[in-house]
Amino acid sequence: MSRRRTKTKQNVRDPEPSDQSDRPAEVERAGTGLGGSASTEPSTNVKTWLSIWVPFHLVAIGVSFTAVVEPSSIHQRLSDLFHPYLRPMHFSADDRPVYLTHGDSDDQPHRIEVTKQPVSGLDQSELVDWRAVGPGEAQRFASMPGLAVSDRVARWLATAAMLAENDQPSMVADLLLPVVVKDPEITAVRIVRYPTDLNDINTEITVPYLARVLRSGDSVWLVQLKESRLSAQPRLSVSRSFPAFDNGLLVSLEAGVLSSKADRQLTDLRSGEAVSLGLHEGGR
Amino acid sequence: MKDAVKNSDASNDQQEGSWDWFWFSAQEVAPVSLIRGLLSLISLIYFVSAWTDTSFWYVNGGPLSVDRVSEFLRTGGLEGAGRWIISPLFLTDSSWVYHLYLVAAITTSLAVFCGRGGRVASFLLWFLLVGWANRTMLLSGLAETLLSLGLFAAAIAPSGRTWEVLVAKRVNAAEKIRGSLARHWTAGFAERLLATQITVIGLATWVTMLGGRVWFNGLGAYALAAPVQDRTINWTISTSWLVRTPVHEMLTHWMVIALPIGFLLAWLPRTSQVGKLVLIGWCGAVALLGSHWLYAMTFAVMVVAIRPLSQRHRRKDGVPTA
Repeated sequence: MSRRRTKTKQNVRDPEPSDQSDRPAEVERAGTGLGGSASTEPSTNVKTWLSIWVPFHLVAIGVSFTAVVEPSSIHQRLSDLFHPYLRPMHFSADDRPVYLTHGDSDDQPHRIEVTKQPVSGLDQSELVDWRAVGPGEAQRFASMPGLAVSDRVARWLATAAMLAENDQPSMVADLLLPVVVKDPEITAVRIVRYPTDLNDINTEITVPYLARVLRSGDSVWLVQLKESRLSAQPRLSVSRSFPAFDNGLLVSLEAGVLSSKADRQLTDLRSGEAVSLGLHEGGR
Repeated sequence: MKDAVKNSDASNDQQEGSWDWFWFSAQEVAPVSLIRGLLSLISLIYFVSAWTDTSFWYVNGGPLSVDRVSEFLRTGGLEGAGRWIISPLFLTDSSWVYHLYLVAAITTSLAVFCGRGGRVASFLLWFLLVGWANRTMLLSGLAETLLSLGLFAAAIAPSGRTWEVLVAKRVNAAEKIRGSLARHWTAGFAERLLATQITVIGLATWVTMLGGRVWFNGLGAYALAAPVQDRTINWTISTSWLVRTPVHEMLTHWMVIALPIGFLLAWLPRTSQVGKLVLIGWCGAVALLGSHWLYAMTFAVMVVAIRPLSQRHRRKDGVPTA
């Protein structure tokens, strides 16, 4: 159990315990910053625990990184099983695009734009002047595409656009309200999606989300404006005056969702345009 | 029968020896110091670039302020999605706390790059990155995950100064010999962990890439560059070589096969350098076409950690034999 050790200088630390007798000289390079003594092997206990942890760790990473593309129920359950280990340490892929691109609409560039002109509908919105806002618009080094700021903005807007397309206006409102709350002159907000060369040549800029900003005192609402559509669904309507509409416009609320804090669909009777309201208030 | 048992025991010993050699043999501290230094440099860029938009996201009322996040999760019934995502920054919305956190992270990045603070500083940097990335939640990207894995693995090794490794080839031979003797089993373990992690991630990346048709129909490389508003370099202008069909198709097919081939070659003794060059070339393509700068840099740095499987040419202590 002898351990040979060569000391070049006085700055030699006590090495890890080792039961090997034929170890090479253990030397620390004093004064170079290459600290740590030259212990050749860990103890058996350490080896055992690490030998258990390493396969577990690698399997967890493999499962997490491959679960981003339509996982089976077993794969998803397995991935969920590793969450308590992976997530606190930020080791989890968590639906991030590990595959870099699949050429989907999520990969298309999105921008958030606001206007101070009145907007009454989707068609009319093309006639007003829009201004891009958000941290990605600042012409600074940090805003350079590929760095953290640009990535965050891209994910933020892609998420909001995806939620809007899946009829989740309240969740979109949660994400976008902070942009419009601070400036009382903003009357409408929209997310625009730019086409790429991979889209059809006739594809133009699309608007996955457009909302009017309604203010009443310190409260702010986003009312999503959608394309007009015909509906054959029976409706139980309740007529009332909504305080945010200064002109006392009558609106029809679906009774089924009236009690829910989530999305409430309103139909603007006067313009015949479908409007969904994300009932989320933001203080100025 | 006895021969069979003997052979079996010998085989078990060999297997046990292979495992121990692979994970627990002492290695030079210097290469891991270089990797850790480069990862700390990438972390530094990450934290500096996060400085400008901190007030927008996290401060009271921002899209990622604590109240807004909890309401967003509650509205969508996504409480489960936020489970296990832990960060000390969830305790406050104060702007100065976030900026102080970034100052601490930037300082720690510099300390780790300089080899100061030992493992404590290295693990502290990892902890600060995890805290920040977890706070960013659904808006954090792939770069943060790779950085977290890389910094954690690299922190296991003893500390060293990055630039000393970079200039090591210029110092005299005696100094080099002395430097090469600074070895520790944790350095070997950290290096192996970095290498196996990036191999698993690389192969997972390859498998998930195959889930999209653009990587089969030859448009993958072009799709990576196509969202020009979000790209540093516009490769889709008419004079660009990428718009030529043979070019982007060949590049797409190369990017698909480069990952498995690159990792295979990187782990083989005779072709290790070629394999690493292939993988670093793949990272270059991802960075240039897709502007995934931080991700590509982190991936490339972790690839450097791959040390080929050449057990028969090494003693158990990891020192190469003549």
